[in-house]
Amino acid sequence: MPEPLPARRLSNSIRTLRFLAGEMTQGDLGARVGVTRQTIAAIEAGKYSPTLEVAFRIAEVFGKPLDEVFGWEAA
Amino acid sequence: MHHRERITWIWLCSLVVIFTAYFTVVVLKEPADPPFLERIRDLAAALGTLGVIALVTQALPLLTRAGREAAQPDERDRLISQQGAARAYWVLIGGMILVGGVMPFTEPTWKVVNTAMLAIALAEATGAVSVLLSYRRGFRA
Repeated sequence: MPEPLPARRLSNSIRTLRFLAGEMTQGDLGARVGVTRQTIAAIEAGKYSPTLEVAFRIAEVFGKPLDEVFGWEAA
Repeated sequence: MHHRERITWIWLCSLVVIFTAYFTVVVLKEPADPPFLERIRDLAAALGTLGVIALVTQALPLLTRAGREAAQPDERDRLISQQGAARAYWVLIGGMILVGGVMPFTEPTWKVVNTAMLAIALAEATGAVSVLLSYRRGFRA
């Protein structure tokens, strides 16, 4: 039987990237990505894992590759 | 608080208050076996009040541009809503199996009707609680 993968969780550096982007607000980021401010807040807090499409859009807004915005860490 | 979360809170509180009042009236009146029209009036009052609340909280905000923007769901809202509807569906199915499959052979008409109303109320409340928990605690598909 194959070995199960270790438990991991999605992390992100959106808060830092917003700061580096001149204190971009959650609302501004949400508007550019096409989601609400509350959804950006939930993603930042690790309470919601976005779809790949939204994750790529967020990375595109900051001009970063996806793996610099989102991480896959041990839980 | 998110617009949809606020609307769901109002809906859940309305469900609890109105159906508690309705079922209290039903239980209190049942021994006297009230006439058909009186039972219909009570049911219509409960459903009518819920209809007005739904109209005021969900339809009226759509008349303004700001209200339309706030009510516009994104992917997280849709997933939360779908999960709530799926949970509500199972509660409703359980209630309807009882109401449609068992009770018609053993219970009087109005008991069947009111049990169906209870199943609908519980299903709606389950969906609303699921949505609120997803907004509060986080949501993972």
